[in-house]
Amino acid sequence: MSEPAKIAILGGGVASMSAAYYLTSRPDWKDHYEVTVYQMGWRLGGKGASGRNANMGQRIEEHGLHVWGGFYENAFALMRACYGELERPEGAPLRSWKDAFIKQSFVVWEEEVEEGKWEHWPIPFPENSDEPGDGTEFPSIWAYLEMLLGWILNAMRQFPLIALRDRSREPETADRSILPDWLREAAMATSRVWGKVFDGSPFWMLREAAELAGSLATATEKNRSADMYRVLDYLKSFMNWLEAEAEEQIWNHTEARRAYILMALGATVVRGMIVDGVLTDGFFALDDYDLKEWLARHGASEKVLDSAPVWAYYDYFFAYEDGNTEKPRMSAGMGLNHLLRLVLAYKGSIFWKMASGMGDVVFAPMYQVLKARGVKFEFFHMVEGLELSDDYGFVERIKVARQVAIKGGKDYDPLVVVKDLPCWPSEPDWEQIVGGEILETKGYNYEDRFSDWAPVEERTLQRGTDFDYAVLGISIGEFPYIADPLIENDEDWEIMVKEIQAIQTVALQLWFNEDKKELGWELPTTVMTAYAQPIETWLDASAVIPREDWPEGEGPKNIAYYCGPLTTEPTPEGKDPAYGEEQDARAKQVALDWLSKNLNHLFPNATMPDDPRELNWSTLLDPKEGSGAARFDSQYWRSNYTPTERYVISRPGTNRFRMTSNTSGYGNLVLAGDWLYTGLGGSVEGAVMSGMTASQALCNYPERIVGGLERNPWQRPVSVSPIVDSE
Amino acid sequence: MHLVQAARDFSKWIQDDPKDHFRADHMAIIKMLEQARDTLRDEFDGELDTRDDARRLYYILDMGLGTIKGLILDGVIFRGWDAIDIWEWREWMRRWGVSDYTLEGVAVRGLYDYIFGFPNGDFANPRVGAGTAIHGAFRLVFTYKEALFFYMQAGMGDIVFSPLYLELKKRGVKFKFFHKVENLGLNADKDAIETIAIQRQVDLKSGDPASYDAVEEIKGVWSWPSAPFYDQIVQGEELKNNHINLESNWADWSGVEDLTLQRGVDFDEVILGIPPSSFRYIAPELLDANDRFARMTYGIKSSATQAVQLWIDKDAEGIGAPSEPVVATAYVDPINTWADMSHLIKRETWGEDEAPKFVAYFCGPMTDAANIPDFDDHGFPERELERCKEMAKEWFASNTGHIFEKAGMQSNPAALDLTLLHGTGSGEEKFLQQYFRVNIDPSERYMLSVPGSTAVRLRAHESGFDNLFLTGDWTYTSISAGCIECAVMSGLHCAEAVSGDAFQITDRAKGYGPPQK
Repeated sequence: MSEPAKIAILGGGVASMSAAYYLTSRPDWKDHYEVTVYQMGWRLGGKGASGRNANMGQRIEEHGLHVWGGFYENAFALMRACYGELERPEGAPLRSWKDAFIKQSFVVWEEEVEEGKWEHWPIPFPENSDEPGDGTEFPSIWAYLEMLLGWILNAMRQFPLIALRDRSREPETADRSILPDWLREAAMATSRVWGKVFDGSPFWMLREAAELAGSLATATEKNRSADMYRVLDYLKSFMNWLEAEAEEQIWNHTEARRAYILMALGATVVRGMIVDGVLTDGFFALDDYDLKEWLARHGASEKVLDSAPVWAYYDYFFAYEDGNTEKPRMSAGMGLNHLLRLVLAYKGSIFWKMASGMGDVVFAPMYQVLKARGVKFEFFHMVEGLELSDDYGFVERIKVARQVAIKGGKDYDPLVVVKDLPCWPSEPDWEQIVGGEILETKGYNYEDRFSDWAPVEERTLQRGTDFDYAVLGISIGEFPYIADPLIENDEDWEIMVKEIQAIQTVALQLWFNEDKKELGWELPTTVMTAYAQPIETWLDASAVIPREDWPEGEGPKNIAYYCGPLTTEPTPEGKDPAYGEEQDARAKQVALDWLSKNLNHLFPNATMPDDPRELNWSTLLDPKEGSGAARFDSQYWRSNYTPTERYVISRPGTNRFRMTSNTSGYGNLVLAGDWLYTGLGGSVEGAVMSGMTASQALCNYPERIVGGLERNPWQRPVSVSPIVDSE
Repeated sequence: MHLVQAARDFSKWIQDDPKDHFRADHMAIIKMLEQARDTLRDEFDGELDTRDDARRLYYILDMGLGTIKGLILDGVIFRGWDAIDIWEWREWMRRWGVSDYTLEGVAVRGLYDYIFGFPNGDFANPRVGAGTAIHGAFRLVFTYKEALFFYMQAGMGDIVFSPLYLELKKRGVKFKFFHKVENLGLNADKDAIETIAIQRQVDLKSGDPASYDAVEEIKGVWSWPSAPFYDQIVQGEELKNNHINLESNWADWSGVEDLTLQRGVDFDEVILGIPPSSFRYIAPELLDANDRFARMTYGIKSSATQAVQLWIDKDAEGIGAPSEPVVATAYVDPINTWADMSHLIKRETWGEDEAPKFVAYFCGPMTDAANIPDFDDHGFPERELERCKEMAKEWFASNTGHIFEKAGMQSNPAALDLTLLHGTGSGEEKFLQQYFRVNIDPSERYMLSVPGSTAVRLRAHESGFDNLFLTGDWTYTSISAGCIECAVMSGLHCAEAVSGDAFQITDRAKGYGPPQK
């Protein structure tokens, strides 16, 4: 048997870890290759890295607010497998994946009913008994449409304006023009055959549309397209009737308005997907449209377009060009594909939140499992540049800066145990580092290439010696710094890097002395979005309180995580230690500004009774016992400003420029990251799927990805041949 | 056959406008066609590989029926060709039931060859948008007048560009040859072209840069020379002796003057007739300023091409070529298309008794070099030409016998007997005296119609910059594929946009209303 190949995984975020996991899942993997992960700084996790702050009650400090969709089928499957392999002992915290993830099905959207006046719009998404990650396939696109129509029908059955609801059941004898003649005839003919009563009432049409859709879900493709247009006509006639009949009443009645907005959005989506051929072409057919543009094109009114659910969805994806909230832009194709899975195919709960920091829940277990499997980790290794071979067919050299030296030449041991749970610290463990006592005082940020640290060694990894294949799991924002030769050599790389935009985000965490009731939040524990920009999203993260380690009686009673897009500024060309400080200062200013304007609506008691714009600082937990605004300084905020931690948005018309794992154009370069073409937006699920495809590219494993990647018309030729052939 | 007949009769009988049809009508047509195809398949079962006529008929029917079905069911009849252009053509046909047997057959391959449908010359990855492919094929096959194809009776320059040049000159259009556009500069608002940087490549002896006399009369036809008239150029000797190719970006030549044309002084409006494959070099500011412009630039894709011309001392009969002149395609890659161009011999000035008897042109896509170097790598064109010659050497050594039955060597009938070539010296030497060309310069590359690219094409007036108009076969036209017809239509659309005059444009594309004056 020949020498095993060497695989270098660059970066340690979700995509890289997922690739490493599946690469090492084949029983015989060690016969074929070795795997080494190169990670800058002291911790894994990428955009999902979190740290425990030893000086502040081992509190959790996140990159941002993360919730998992109940449809994250592949991501949950990975977590379930990982926790299974971990075999934590009886009584250990977060022993199983079910301890690690908590259902968060209660969602609130904020509705701006008039300028500056907000109302909560609570949405208790029903929970179900399915378990995410069980491997069942997603419904077909047509089945989604059927569900949507069924839902609209149900919404009409329960429509809050009772008189209107009743009227919808009255046959429209006076005005027959509501249906085109041919459709009316067809409907009557069908009724005769099936023995149903045709009364031509609006409700009848809605029901008919839903039923027809149901029967079409199982029909063959041939018959389908003929009847699709009937569904459309029924649905359109019904919506026209509803609008003509009751628009005024609807907009003035909170419940009716909300029901109507959702019905209108549902009907528009059904209509648009049929008319634009999504059923046959797939979602990529809509990639050139902005979601709102597309909804407008299929008849959604201004008010519906400006409604809370639409904003909620843009917020969910930070879908703002340049991080500018004036420029909401989202690919309709990506958006709908992701949305239908999110709201119609979730398992257990629409969202799941984590019972501890993302690092503790995801990356510590992944690290332990991979380490046990024999994966090597090189911490404090920042990739500086990829260089090509003379024939431009391969990545020949990888320049890596070794950031620090570990005492005794040992491997760095990265985890700390907090209340029996292995976690990542928020700073390096200086004791393991040569000169750590001094470095600790310097304030270097080893996750920031602009920070002033100087490498202890410039390493060059050579193809054939140090690696044979590379998995590039570093996010696309970093490419101008590390992949210039690739960008210059290939127009597809050039346009990809140019068009796939990564934006800055702002994250804020507050620890309160009071619980949510005391703070004035009357509704259940929630994740809220569509609120005042830019920090439009809030998660009540109090579930992690037991995992932090505050002195007895001095801990928080409520923890709130907030996040949103931040106007994106260009990154410096080289070292610029002031840049990070400026960006974090900007985030702080944005946060303070936002809190003063907007916290009152959420936590009325966290502001002063006489001035809703003045925060009641004493409600904030401050171990340093500062007074007034100084208490804020003990909270946590960050601007995700480094190129790798910026969030990758899906602007319309840009999906075509995304590559897939095995189409880098180079024989030994495999790509992984949620910025690849997965059909989904930036998410843990997208990242996991891309890690799976990266693994497939090298070892033909895993065999299946649930809701796998759609082939797309922009697919590039495959450039990587697997090390291990499929059996 | 009756079923096909019935389907056609039925489709003639129903209303012209598809919006007036019942879905049932369409379903009926599809049903009839499907049955016809299935009958056919059963009938010829097992004989397709051996019977040329049966196979060819099957190709046509299989493809034709699948296409009709797809056009109806995918709503192309309502939504237009662009609706399915996001599909790769073969994938789309496969979806509508066309068999793999047909899809891998010569008829399909021929179309890819015809439009050089291989991005970056990658033969393993043929790609063309379904809408463009089908529409283009329909236009070609169903709407031709007199003949499917026309030959030019001399070089294209002589046939097309000399008359246009002379006529335009007469009308008062100024021509400044040897002016190479280097960069388009934007104004401060980044919404208009403010400057155009131009390299003046040579000094003319007359001193007037607009005075170059570009054509010469050969046997009564105004023709373009293959090299500049060095005697009109101050640097003529130098260019000639150093073999400087002024049409190549890689030439070791930096011109005699860098001009900057200024908006409001030297120009007001700009018509950009240089293709997107050049924009990363000449329009980086525009790419940065305007996303749609950038997406067009990178979304259309292009391919380098290569060509070989052989002059042969025996006539068609002597080498066993088809007796009627032909254009043949879908042959072995890369120079998969060839044409008998012997009719041009009389346009060339060969000495008495020295004229060749047969001329054949070959062309096809060229796989890109692994790396396309910066323009200071002056040896690049030569290396690429070498690559073309190497390719040709191998190609003719293994693929000649099939097309020229009597031009093979005794020892190896597939290999071209090089001594048959026109020229002097040994066969090898004669071979190298033939004409080889690589179209590798950014502006020479063939612009493709890959799936999804129609959506990124801009119209003549849609550059996104106030005073910039676009023209070229890469703009949005009703066909949106690389061909002379598209280039001409785009020119007309562009002229309308600039002048406000309306011209007659057959098959005016969506989004180009005739100007309202």
